Amino acid sequence: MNKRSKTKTSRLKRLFATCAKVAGLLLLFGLVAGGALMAWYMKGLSEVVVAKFEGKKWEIPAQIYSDSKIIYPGMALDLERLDEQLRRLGYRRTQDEPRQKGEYRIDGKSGRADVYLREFNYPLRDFKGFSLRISTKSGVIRELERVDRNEQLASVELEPELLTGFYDRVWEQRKVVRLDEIPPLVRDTILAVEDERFYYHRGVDPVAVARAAVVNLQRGSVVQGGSTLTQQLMKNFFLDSERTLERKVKEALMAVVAEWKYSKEEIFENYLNEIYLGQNGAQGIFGVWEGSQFYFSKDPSQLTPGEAAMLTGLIRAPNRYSPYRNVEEATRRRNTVLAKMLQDKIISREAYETAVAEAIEPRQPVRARNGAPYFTDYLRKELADNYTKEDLTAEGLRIFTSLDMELQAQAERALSRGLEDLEKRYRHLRRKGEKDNLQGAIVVIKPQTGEIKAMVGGRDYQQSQFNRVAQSKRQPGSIFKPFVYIAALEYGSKATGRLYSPAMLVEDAQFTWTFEGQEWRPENYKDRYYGTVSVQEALERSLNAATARIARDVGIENVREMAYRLGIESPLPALPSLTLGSVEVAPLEVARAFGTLANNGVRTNVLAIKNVVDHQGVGLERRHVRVRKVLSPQIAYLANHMLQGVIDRGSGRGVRARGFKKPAAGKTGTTNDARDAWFVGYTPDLLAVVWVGFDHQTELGLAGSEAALPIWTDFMKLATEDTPATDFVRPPGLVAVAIDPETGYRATAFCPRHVRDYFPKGSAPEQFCPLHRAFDATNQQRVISVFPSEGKEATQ
Amino acid sequence: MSREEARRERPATAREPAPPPPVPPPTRRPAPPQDRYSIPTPKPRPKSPQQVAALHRVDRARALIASGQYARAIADLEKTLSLDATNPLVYFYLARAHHELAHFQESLDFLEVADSFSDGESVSRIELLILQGDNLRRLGRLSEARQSYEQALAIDPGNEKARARLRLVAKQS
Repeated sequence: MNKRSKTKTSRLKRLFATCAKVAGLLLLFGLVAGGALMAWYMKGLSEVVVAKFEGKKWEIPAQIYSDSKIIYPGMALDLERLDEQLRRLGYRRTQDEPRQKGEYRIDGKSGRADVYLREFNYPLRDFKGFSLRISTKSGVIRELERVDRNEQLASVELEPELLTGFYDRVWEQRKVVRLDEIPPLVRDTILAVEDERFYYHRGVDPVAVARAAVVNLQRGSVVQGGSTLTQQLMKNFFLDSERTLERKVKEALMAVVAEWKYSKEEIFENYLNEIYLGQNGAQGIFGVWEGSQFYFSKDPSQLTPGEAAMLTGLIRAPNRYSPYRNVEEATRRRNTVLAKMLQDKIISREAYETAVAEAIEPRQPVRARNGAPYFTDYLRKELADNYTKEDLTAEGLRIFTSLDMELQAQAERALSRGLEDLEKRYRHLRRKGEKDNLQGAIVVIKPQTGEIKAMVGGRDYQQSQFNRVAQSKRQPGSIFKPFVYIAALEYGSKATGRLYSPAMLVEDAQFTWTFEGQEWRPENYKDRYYGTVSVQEALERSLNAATARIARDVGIENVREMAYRLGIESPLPALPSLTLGSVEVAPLEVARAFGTLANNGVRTNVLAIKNVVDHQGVGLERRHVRVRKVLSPQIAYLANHMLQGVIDRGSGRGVRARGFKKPAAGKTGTTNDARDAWFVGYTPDLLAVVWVGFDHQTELGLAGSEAALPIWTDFMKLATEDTPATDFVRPPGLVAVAIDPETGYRATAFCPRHVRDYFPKGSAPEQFCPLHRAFDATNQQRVISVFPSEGKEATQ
Repeated sequence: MSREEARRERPATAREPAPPPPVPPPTRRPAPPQDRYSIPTPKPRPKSPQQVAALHRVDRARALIASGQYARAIADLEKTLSLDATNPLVYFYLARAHHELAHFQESLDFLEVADSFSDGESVSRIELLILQGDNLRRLGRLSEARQSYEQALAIDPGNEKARARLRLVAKQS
């Protein structure tokens, strides 16, 4: 080789060496940079994973429950309604005697129901699960027996029903449980099917990936996944369901991070609480506990092998394998899982044969509904002072309310049917489209406690969320009149001090009331006047002139004071027109005020929320029944008696004509301009207020007895169907006195009319009638002989 | 022949003395005509099933109060109100439980209602007055408290509880 070629070779060698060094350096740099980048990326992923695991994992909406229900011997009980209620509660009906909590059997022929009650966490009360036997005869409970102890029970409380939840965008129904609360049967089955090498890999399982790749290549499509349980959890926590390589890589890396940071038990527990298991209307079913309830009405600990298999099978495709949609697919999938359980020796051959042979009965789920949406909105406002939106939509609170689901459904039906009926009968009430449709509202309360039992704030919540029970203030019209009469019974005449009584006479004729320099002339309906009438008759017929005359005599301030005292909260102008209801009030406060009368003069606070507890069952808030005696029971009784007359004989007699026969008191209400129609009515146990009108104050042209009363009657007939007829309790301390109705004083033998009238003890007039004959002892003797039993009845 | 023997010898055809005339049914005064003002006189009625169930629950609440479970007693009794809102015992025990939880105004309110329904038998007026006095005393309304205790003593002058409370009020004044 010559010198030149030697030099060329060594130059090439040097160049190659330099390139190699540079390449090496670049590679090293690349590795270091890549490693740093990867480390930075993994750090970011790690923070995300840690934040999720250690922060709040799920947004659990507050759950809202109805009131619990007491049943007792002697109570009317429709077994069909009981069946419906138990079904709503998620109980399973069986043919055989119930052996597990959550099962029940009803035998209509013998009138017997056997219910294995479940446990329920209720603040301050334990709903313990036990086997209850309800024996009925002719629709009445004869006996309640606790079967395991052979013990007769005086009453039993049935657990409250889930009404709805406060959710933000989506409703994820989920109960978070610990790993040890899920039985081994369920845990092992899920692992066997979803990730049998869970305890052997570190987040990603190359064996599973390779196996899936082979199978998929053979089939020519993606039929098997190689994702581990950890990867599935990462996907559900953070990622969308998009199937891209980038997403799969991210999922794998996050799984590795999770396995590095957390134990297998923590990962598995999160998985069991996270998995999506189907849909129930707007409600998504998440987690094994919730899935177990939704499909089987059982705790996971009660699941049979077949049920555990079905639940596990749902994970891959909850809607496709749902027994509610396709029993055949569900059965096939279940059996596939059962075969795997047998193969992995999770169950014995015998258990396998039994489970495979079980037929899946077609069932309908108990639909999650947003029952009582107006009531739910009302609750939200009530809670707003103490709870943020985040608290209500994400912290898993449980809110126990006063609502009665059956009464709510009945109220909704009555209002809807009633308004449709009005539109059918009266053409002028019909509207095209939904703008300014005829509207209505109904609120039902329990007078004894102030609890709201039903609230329907409008005709259709989807169309209008405006709550006409609580937010709308309208003129009550004649509904206001009872306050005048009660003030008259309590305060009497400003001029003479003489107390009014139901039999006293008053003039129903046109007159002018001059008040603070202004003149006002109350007019009767259709300009018809009845002359001299009794106070009771004036109220029964709802006579404007007579009422205004009484109010003038009693004093407008006293009328106002009485209305406030009974429970009206809206500002009331001290004007004569107030007596005929020329003011604006909400149906809810009308209910409260009349509730005071129904409750014997005891005013209660309106109560919707009873308890709020956190997700661990710790009590956050308790709202008590509050009472205040504001009227003597005697005056309340007299008021109720007069208002019973309204229904029996007066403007509210349509109630009786429509078939409601139980003792009840009430008042119709129509505004002068016929824009509002009201009816408020009550038994001693239940009160309902109905309002009908147009939102935009269009003339209705119908009286309360025509528009609102039929809806009230329809509702009350249903609502009180199974309850005994109870009458208003006459309190002690009412005295009967013979009075001259013309003057209101004690009658003498010379008075042309005497009636037996009633007064609270100590307030009966002592003075004899001065109009017809001056008092003397002889006359007094004669008066006593006219009513020989007076001495016995005079005092109670 | 004696009179007795003659009576025995009397032929069968002799007339037997006529049986005494039947007692006429008591004459009833015709019912007064129905009118809008008639208020029926209350007749003693057996307890309704609701009232019976309510009584059992009151017994249970009493036991809860005795064992110091006041909040639970209140929850039970509030539920009982929906069965029977005219039983003074329900209100009285609500008053008692609220008092133990230092809800003195609520306790007074329930006592007032208990008093208005009381027939003097189911709820001891003395106990009611003493509890009323206790609430008033805790609310700082000492003169009213004194009146309540004095009213209790007027009914039962030897009542040691009322006396002791009066002494307390005197100390606090």
